[in-house]
Amino acid sequence: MKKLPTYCDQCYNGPDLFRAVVEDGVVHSLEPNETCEDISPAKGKICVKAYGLIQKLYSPHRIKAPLLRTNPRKGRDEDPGWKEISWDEALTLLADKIGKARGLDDAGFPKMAVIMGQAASPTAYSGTLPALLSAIGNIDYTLGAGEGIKCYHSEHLFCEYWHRCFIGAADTPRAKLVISFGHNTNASGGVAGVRRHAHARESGYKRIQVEPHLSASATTSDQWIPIKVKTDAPLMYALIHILTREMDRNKSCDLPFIKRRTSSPYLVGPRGWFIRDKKTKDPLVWDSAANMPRTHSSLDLKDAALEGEYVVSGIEVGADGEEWEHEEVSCKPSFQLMLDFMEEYTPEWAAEICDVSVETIRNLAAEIVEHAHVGETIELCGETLPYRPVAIILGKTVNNGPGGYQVSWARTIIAMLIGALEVPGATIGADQRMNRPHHDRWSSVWPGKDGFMKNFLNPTDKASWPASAQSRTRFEQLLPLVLNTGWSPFLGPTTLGWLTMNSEWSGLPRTTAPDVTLLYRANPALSMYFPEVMEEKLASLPFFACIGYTIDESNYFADLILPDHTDLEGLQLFRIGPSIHSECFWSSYGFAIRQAAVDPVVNSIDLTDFSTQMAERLGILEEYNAAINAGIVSGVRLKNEYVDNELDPATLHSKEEIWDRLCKSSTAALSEGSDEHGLDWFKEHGFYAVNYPEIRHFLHPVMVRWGLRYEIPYQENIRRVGEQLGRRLKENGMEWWDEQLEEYAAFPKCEDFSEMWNMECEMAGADPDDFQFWLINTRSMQYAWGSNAGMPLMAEAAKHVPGFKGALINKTVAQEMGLEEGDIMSIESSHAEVEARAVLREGVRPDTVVFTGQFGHWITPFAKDLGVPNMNTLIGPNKKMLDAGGSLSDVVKVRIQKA
Amino acid sequence: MVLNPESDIFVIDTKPLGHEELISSYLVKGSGGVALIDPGFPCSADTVLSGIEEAGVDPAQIKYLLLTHTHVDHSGGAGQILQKAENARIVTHKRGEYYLKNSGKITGGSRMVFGADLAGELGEAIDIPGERIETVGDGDTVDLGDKEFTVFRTPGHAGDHISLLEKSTGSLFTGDTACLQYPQLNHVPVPAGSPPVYRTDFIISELSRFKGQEVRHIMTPHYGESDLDIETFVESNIKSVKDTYETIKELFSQGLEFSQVIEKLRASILKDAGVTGERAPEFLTDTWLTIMLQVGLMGYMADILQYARDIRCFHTEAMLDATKR
Repeated sequence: MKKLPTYCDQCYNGPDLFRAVVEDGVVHSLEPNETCEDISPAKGKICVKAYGLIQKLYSPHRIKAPLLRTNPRKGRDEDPGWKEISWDEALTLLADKIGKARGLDDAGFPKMAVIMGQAASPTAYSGTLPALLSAIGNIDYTLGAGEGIKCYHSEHLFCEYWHRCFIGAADTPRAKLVISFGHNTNASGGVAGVRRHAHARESGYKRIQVEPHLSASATTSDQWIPIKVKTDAPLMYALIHILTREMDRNKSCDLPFIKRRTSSPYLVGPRGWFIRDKKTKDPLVWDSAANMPRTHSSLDLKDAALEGEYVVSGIEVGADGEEWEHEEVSCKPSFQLMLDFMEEYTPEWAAEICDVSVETIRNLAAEIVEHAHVGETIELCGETLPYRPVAIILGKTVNNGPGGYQVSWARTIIAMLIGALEVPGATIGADQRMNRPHHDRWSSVWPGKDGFMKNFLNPTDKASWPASAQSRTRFEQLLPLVLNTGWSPFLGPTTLGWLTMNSEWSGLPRTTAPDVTLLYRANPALSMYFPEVMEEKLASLPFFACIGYTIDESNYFADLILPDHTDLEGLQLFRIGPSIHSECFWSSYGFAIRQAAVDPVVNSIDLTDFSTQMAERLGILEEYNAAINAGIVSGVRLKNEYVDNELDPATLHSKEEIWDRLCKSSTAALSEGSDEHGLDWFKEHGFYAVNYPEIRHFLHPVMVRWGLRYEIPYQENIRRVGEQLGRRLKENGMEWWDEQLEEYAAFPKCEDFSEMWNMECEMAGADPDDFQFWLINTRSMQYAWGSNAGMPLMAEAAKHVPGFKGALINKTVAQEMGLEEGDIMSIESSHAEVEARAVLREGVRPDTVVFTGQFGHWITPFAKDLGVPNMNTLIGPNKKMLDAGGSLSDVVKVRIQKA
Repeated sequence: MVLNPESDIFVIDTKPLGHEELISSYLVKGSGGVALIDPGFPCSADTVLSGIEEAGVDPAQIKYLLLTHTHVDHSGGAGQILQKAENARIVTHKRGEYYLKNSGKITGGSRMVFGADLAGELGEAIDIPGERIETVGDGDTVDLGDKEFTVFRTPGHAGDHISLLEKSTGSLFTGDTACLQYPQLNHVPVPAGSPPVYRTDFIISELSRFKGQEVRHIMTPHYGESDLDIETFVESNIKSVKDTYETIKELFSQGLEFSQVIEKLRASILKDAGVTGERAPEFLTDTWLTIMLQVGLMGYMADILQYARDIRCFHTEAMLDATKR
């Protein structure tokens, strides 16, 4: 019997380390890996998805060899006529196609596109594929599946801009109060998330879950506030109103933090820009002690004012360098402007919108202040830090689509008010993806202009804004906040790329289809909005190759399917730690191995072998090996200051040799030369990790050391960037993004965003009153991200969790409609209709219906027989519903009747 | 212009935006060809070409364009020069090749350091085709007939940084391993710190390595030939690197913020240099020196805070201790 260490990274909370137990060449069980207990937030445990890997390995439905389509016609009703071919034939064909598809087409777009999904997890399985793709060059990654636009999108963009917070997390072990607006940690937080919250509950922390239904997380919370769908922003604005306008700010707020660590004292001029020193152009503040203006960084500044109105002279700098000089003009600090701005957002106003009582809203505000411990400190790694044990986390539907910017801003402002930003116990960033390096948030903090952190937005000034895009989503033109680094293409407005392919949509210009499309770990025909449109688009791709597991709804339209090794068959090194997603904070970081537990079960391929062979066939072996040497795989340079394990660029290297060198170079770098462990060592031990100082999980110490301020509350630069972007688009005749430009406001106005969905009905020619229910979606621990819809074990586990059989509907409402448990319901939006079984529940708002997970499969084996619909079918393409990041929300208004 | 009539080594003042004695480029004539070292900013290209002609060289005679590293103030003008030096090949460390082929990265770095306005004036780098680039590593040589350069890998200032020693004349082209030492600031050494990380440990060992070489002339980019012997040069530079580190720690421990530390350092340098506004150009003492100190401090702080572009081991206590406020 052998027990082989390996990892699972089927979701965005991994990798979780475990051992595969093998006897007589068969994996028969898995067990946790207790050797990583001290370093892993999951303590060496795995969730149900990992246990399903054995079924995944031995599934009779696996694609058993490369498949070539023989029927050129594509459609749901067309039999592809799959023919098994050899790997030689398959790779020859693919190399021929890719070889002809390098470079840009006549429209200026890359001829080759790659589609990846499943959040960040593909890179844990892709071997050296990133090196192959880098060597091919000029690839459009923007035609995505659901990641990015269906993720925590506004939070990704804005919060990473403000405090390197790709996803907002709670410092759960130290928090006393966590308020979750729709963040379903028990379903989406992985083993680490469930564990951390369970322990926190034992320690007496309080969790308040604010969402329209009693989710898996709400069931283990102290309080569930059943808010109306998409009204989170008004509630949060009301909290800000209470904290700043109803309570005594000297008691409710962390004024020293606000004064010193944010732009709250910066004076704003009559045109709404910061008023600046005429010579240095530094923003001015009012020094209350000296009764005069000073620059924010003046050595003589004693006490910057947060409130009041002051007469100063200076200049305002607007968009495109426009300047206005002022002599003795009246200005207010940004904080005062925020107080004024918040006047209308009373709890009474919010209560009407959110269907949450005024008393509940005021109690929530009181809880925030009670638990904030303003003024308290804590020792961490020998350093004294502020201790503010209140965190606010957001769910993805909350911060996608209309209102996404507002909730991201409001959450950050509430954190600012009590000083609970990037300090122990508080809201912290779990990860950064657009900024680099990914493995250490501190290392991306640089001093920029105006006393803020430097950000590297896509340019919007006239000289630098790109008049043409090289991505089909045009993210480099449309999305300043998404930057232009490795992850940026995945975070762009994917919807635009697909809907404009070979057609015009809502006045947007056409984009060309890529000559060659390669898909890996994605099922966009299901996971993207408007599946019927997606099927057409996939069918129209000139050459579509998929690295696939079973036949599914997307690769059904492929020309070529290439089966890769599953999790328990492939070989790869993958980074562990220091932090990811929402609860995975490691005390170490390093690398873990994924190794073949058994010989391949079918005629599949390891993606490192695939990549190396393709590189050779394409004549780019040198570039491929150079990319591996340069660290494009796993972020490890093969030559560092301690060792040189570089590959000979001209040689064809085996996967064992490649990964052996990566193992050695990674351990040498981490150990500063004292260790150099190769593949055999990793296969035995499973992982190698070194200490990651806990203090580096918090941005506060590095912000203090640089003397930087958070760029909140007043979004002067966001406004500037938005105005500049608007001008560039107009100058180039691109007037189809005007509504989205409205989002770029210094203070984002709040409204009842739920009304947008009534408007959507009206635009479709329907009466919103006829569509009286809100349909939303909730995450599934059993299925999320892992291509697990076809796993019987997942279905068996899921049947014990309410919601998987159909759609959750309020029990009283259902009974009034004559519906009983299990009855088939017709669920109809203004766009389409589906059917689902009724699952009657008390824990659902009467006006809300909930789908769990994402189904609607019509060809994936086993999943196609689950009889659970796809919510995406019901959502129609409507440009007005896109936010400035190109995201929609998983929300739609529906009417329901017994089928 | 000519540094040493016997050696056929010429210094060219690149005069970015007309400002003198900030960045020197070097033209080296050998029996087997001509080499130009570090052409400076894009906006300096015409000035450098004039200097080349003044030295009696046709750009077509240039065999090598040697780049100590790909920061814009050293290699930004390489593309423009290469257009005239049609027979030249760029020689750079292999980690620099990517940036030369993707000049937007160099221009992006320029914008980060100098701000959009000034970076725009200093010019935009242009892409260099891969077939005109040769890469070198530690110990490699570049042949000019009666002259030969030995390459020293010196990544303390930048990941692709090299220094070059011409054997026959004993001329060491330091690149930014050496401190800035402007004639107009009386050669007061100022460490050439730079983000992403200014590896002071590397800089010290690299400088120390120069001591063991047969160096008779020390050619610095900022600016010109040093009149010190190699031992004294290395010791003074190492002292400056170490002293600056301690000064930064001290200033932060006093609670000063980043921009305030810059101002203190600038004042201290001007005082050491014995320079007032009337005696030194305002662009140097105000704009340029402030920018150099900003990037220098960024590089130092990144080193102190253990910034990690690549995976590395972190040492908490040392880092926190160094930056106690």
